[in-house]
Amino acid sequence: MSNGLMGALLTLTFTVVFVGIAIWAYWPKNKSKIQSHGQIPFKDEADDNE
Amino acid sequence: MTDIAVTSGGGSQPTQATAAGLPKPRYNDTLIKYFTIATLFWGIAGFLVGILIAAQMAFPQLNLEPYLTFGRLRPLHTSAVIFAFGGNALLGTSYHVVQRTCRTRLFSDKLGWFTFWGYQVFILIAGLGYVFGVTQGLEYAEPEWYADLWLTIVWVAYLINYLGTLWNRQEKHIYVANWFYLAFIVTIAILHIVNNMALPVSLTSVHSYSTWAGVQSAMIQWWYGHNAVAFFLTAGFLGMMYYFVPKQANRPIYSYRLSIIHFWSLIFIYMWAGPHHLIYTSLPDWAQTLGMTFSIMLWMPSWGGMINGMMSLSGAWHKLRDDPVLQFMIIALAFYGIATFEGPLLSIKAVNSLSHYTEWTVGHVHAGVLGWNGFITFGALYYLVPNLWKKKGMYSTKLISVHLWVATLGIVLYITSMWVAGIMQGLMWRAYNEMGFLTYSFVETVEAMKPYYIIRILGGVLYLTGALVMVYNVWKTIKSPQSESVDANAAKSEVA
Repeated sequence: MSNGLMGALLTLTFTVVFVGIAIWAYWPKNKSKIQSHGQIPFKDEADDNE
Repeated sequence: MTDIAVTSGGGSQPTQATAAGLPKPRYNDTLIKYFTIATLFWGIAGFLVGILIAAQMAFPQLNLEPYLTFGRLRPLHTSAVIFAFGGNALLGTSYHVVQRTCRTRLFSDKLGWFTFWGYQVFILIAGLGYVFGVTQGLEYAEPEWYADLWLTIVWVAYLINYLGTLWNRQEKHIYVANWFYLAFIVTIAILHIVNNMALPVSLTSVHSYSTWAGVQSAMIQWWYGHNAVAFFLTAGFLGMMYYFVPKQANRPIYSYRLSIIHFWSLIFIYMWAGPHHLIYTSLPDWAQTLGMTFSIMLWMPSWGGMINGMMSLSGAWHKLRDDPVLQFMIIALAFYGIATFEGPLLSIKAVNSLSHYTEWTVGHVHAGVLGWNGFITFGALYYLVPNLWKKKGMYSTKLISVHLWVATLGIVLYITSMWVAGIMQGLMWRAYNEMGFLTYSFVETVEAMKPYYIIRILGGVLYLTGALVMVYNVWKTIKSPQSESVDANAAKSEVA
């Protein structure tokens, strides 16, 4: 396989993967689940009061 | 210093015992305390050397040969502030954040202590090397082969400890701050190994030959150099931002979905921006254009991240008015925005033809490091110190404000003087008369810089002053018996 073809395929793969991530992240059904991860930093606070 | 020893029980042994004796969700805070103090110590040292070399630019007689010349002290300054101050801040906060967001203790306390002391040893041997003239001559990769090998061992220990902690997590999802920290750890390992491939002159020699040569070595050097900016000074500190801004504001990040896009777009794009350091050099033109294009594309994810951090305060902007720690963090994000707007601008070939090799670049870098890296670190440390030493707040909230505004003024003086100096320098270099002769001799362009160099010194002195105020405040906080600070109470009730 030539370098040029490999580069093109790699670029295509990266682009498709990135677009896939973006669609997944902004898919309306996933919203509440993904946004809820924002609460994680506050979950350890109970431990602080030991 | 004695106080820390007392608090921690004097080192690693008692911590180990504690680890064995207690149930899981107890964190190793002692290690983070050490990193916090080391961060402040190296910060002061690095800022001091910065002021000295700034003074050497304005007053060349301050170069004391052979050890204390600009050429030897400049890498001492950059390494002290980036790798010692920034590095200790990153290692310490990453160990804190990964424990808290995974709600589990550090994977290995022993590895933790090894990374702490091992990293300080690396800083010392690298720094001593510079003063004695031992350098690879690669910007931001000056340490010679023996220091590089040692850092590799320390770094692998760090990676294992981080991954092990993630593996033990009590939380199903890995919080986004950890992604940024992990990207920082992994990428720095790769960059470090590839750019530092070298053969020692002999086993007893401190010097070495690089594996890379010619334009490839330049390309690899700036692939390394720019990604050190991207993954050390950006990704790592964004990990800090994604944890400490929500904690200090007591609100979740504005959009977790945006943070996912922020992360992956930085990862996919940043790797290719390096060639913008080599515009109008012997690097092939297509590679220069590639570097420029990817640099411009970076503007969007960078601002997406900045907006994500700032908008976390949406609906609670009053917190910003009352809390100087939050002000540090938000001003840091503003400087992140300024620096990531200016960066793509400077990478455009037409702009770069004016700006390259001038003080403008120096100003740009310092907008990023003093404003973004410095301020987000100060903000995180102001959050951490009372938290780690179990105090109700910092000793003085007023002194945090003093630090904030003195340091901000320092940055403004620094970057504005370097903008003016840099653009003037670039214009003077390219000016020619109707006969085609250069209008200015080189020494005239050097002379023209002097007033701006002096203003820069003043900016640096203000920045250091602010940091010294912080050291005092931290010291008083740690020393105070279960402090309720003088004015923290008042400030807090105002917030409420």
